Amino acid sequence: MHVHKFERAWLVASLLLIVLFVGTVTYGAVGAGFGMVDDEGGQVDPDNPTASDNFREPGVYADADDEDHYHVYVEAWRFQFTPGSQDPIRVPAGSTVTFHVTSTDVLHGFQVVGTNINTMATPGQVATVTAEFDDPGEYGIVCNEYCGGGHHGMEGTLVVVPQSEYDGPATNTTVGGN
Amino acid sequence: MEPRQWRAQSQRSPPSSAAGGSTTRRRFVSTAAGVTVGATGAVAAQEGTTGDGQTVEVAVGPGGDLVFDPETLEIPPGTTVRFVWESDLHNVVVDGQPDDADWSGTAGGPGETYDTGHEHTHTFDVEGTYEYYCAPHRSSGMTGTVVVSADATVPPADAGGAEGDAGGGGGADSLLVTAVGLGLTAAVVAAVYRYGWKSPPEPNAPASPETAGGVPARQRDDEPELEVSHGGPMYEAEVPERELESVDNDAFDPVGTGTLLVGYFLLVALLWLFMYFVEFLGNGPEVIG
Amino acid sequence: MAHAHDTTTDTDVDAETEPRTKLAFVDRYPHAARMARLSLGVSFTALTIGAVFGIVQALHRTDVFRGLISSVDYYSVLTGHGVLLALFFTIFFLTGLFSWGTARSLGMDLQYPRLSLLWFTMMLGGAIMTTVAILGGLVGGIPFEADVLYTFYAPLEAHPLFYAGLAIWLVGTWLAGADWILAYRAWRDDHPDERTPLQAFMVLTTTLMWYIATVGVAVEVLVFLLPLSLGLIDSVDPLLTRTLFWYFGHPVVYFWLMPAYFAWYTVLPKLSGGRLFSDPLARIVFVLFLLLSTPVGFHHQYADPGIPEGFKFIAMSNTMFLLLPSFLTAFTVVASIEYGARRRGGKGLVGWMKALPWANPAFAGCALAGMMFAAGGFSGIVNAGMNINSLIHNTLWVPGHFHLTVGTASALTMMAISYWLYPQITGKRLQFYGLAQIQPYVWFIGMVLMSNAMHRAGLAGVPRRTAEPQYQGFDFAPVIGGMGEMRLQIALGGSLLTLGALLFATVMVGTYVAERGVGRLRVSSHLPDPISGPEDAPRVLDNLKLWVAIAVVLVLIAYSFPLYSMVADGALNPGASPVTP
Repeated sequence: MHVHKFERAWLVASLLLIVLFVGTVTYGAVGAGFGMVDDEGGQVDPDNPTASDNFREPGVYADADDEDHYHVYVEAWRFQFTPGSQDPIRVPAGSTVTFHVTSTDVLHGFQVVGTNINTMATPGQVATVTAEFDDPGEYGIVCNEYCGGGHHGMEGTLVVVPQSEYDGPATNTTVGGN
Repeated sequence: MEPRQWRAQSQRSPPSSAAGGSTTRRRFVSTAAGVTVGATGAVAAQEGTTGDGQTVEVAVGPGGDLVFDPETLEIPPGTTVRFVWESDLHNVVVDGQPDDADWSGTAGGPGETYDTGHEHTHTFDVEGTYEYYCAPHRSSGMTGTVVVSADATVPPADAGGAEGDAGGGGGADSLLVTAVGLGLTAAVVAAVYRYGWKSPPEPNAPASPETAGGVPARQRDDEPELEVSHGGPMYEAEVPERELESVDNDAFDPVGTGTLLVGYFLLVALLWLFMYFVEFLGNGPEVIG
Repeated sequence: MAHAHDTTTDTDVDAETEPRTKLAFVDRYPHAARMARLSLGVSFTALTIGAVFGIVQALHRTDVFRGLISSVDYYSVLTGHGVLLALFFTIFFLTGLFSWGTARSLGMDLQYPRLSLLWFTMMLGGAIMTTVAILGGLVGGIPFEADVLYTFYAPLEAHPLFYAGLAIWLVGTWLAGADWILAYRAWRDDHPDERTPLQAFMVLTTTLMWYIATVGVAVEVLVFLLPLSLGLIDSVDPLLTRTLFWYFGHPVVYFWLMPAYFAWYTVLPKLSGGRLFSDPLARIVFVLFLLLSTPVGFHHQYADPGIPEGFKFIAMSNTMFLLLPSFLTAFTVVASIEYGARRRGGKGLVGWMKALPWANPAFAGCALAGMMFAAGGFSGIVNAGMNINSLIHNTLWVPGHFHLTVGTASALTMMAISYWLYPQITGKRLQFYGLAQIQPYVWFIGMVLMSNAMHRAGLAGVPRRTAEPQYQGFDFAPVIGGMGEMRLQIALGGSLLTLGALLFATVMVGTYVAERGVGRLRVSSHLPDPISGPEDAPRVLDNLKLWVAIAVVLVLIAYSFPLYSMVADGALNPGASPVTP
């Protein structure tokens, strides 16, 4: 088959670009350590998530093993985040936070606005995302998956307070790890 | 003194024509003269100086909108307010009320919601301002106010501020949409007049003069062979000579293409690296799992 | 009935035995012409309605004007916009274009008029049912509604009419594919050793890809969602149904893109005054799409829980390799155009572009669409990048991306090719030519404005599919530019796009009502030989059975384990009860 020499050169260039993309993404996963949402959160009964070991009453918890690690259990429902909408989620600066997110009715989204914390809230599944909050600040939380007529009002707040001002989580311990 | 028309529970006005959404709204019928009642300092309703026995309705979530309609209510003491649910998943939570008032909102507090058809009634006796909200939709702006006053005036006809936010006054919006619509229409019409009568060029006539409307160009006398139809089968244009020549495979090096693709390659690679390392990995709290 | 096919196929016209003028397509292959006319008529109607919905949305969402609809009704409008444009405008155009291309390249009319009318009627009937269900949501007080958006994720539930319409429409598309395959088989019986003509080859590979791809959504609708909406089952697993949708949801974009590539490879070179640079490479590209379009669906589910990261990684690398056929297309198409430009006298490394026929709307639209696709491809690479996807998942960046790809590369090409094609299938000369000339530029400018603002807003975190993306508790902090300026560009760009669609509709309606059979057409359907012809293409490329087998294996690798595990833990469980929007 007659392939023009420019075409051959472009084929090589294209493959190089593709390798660049796959390579960078792999670096991000393995080198920089960015973790994707996956199935480690387990499954729950969508009508009663807290009945399962995979989920707790919504709120902020401290990790049993690591004093700088907090777990936030979030239920998304039409049209609020609990916690988040009525009362802001509060965590201290310098902590690592694992969000456990599920939905009790339809698909929702959970994005901490302006950050890479961006996951689906799926009925029956628990999504876990862990992030490190180094500095104090205030973030919005937005539902970015269409969930019905009130979707555009579904928002919340996440407040990262300076350590000295932090009073502690709602309840004390969680089973260690995720 | 003109009596104020105030029979809230027996009258329903037809949907208002104010610029606004597609939901029907209940309106309180009022006459313009009713507004002058304040002059006598007394509620001159035929039914009495208090609201005893009067019932006023507030729609909860009409048409699925996250609002109370009317959002603000002014009533005399003794009036009963009936909240009627027109969509699902709402409640009424009292946010503030006068000191000796005893309104507790819907049963179950903020965590309990109710669906279409549900009703909640309360008789407001203590004068003052009552603030309330719907818990799941508070952040969407689903709040309301009841002002109980012996001097209460008739609630304004457009009591529902529930036109979605920033719908604003009807006047400015109608004007805007009319302007946009007229502008688009005018643009299309003007374009049709300016450009519309042009016909595509005849394939065998270089820079042929434009013909008006759909009148076909006449066949030129020096091309007697080409068939032209008038109502019968249609023919294509003649195939240009250059499409029929045979072509030498190796004669052409697409250097222009090569140039563009080199540029594209560099642009994509650089933009990707920027997006990945600066925008993405450089962004906010680091996600590690 | 097939009439004696003439020998004019892709190969050149022999000047000694064939006249240099031909009967127009409308009279040469009347049956295929009729199917093309019917399909395009429905396609353009869907485009016009969808475009009007678009401007309503653009003005509402940016808070420029919210007086026309309520924010709750916004979602019905959005569903209509998505379904009418992304399903009906595009696919009805495809059935018209492919009916034309099959007959033209094989040199014979479609074989079974009754089958043709059956598929068209099914597609049209299904489309009307679904559209009625969607529009019902805008009329208060009646029980129809389907504000579930174009992706109709469970447990959101629409009226059964919505799902039934989609199912019937889908079966109609399957029969359309069969119509073209049967035409090919009839041709093959008469030409046992010839290479498949290029346009027919593209039709076949696209159709086979569609059969593989639609299995997922057919199962989702027929086994789960339609029974759910009829009350036959109580709940469905949202993750499973969503996965079945995205099994289909990625290859469907190639069903939008393949007609554009079909036009760029086979017609655009002629419009430029050039020739297709390489027929074999075009075949390779279509085979690659057949192989790789479907096993990448998880790249739409990077943010989903319940799917192991390994499968997301496989989808990511498959997707990145799927860039290859598009990169190859860039070379071949641009080289073909450059050949034409040089023959028209173009000079220099980039100055040759000035010599191209920018005043010809069919050329201009395709060329501008191709340029825009280069940009849309880049934002697609970001979407595909697994972890970097978290930056823009479900933000306004995503519509920014797909308005460049389906919204311009596909839509503008479809409009541009119609300027060239519609006269040939109707026998009427194009009316309002001046409008046609400016329309592609209006569209292009509108899209530049709207899309750049959408991309930047998405980076700031503005969500998509939201009627009022203005929140009380926080503000968006854009990196470049300001929120107000972005909203203005979206409103302005959207208005220009609707204007572009109305200009197109005006030209088409004007042509449709013009008198037929007067004079002669100003275009010829002759496509010049490629520089490198099909005889240079390895025979194995035409072995479609082999490619289908490999495609199926790749799909099984990508999907069988995840789907198995979702079904094994209960196909209806973890169930969630249906919820009406």
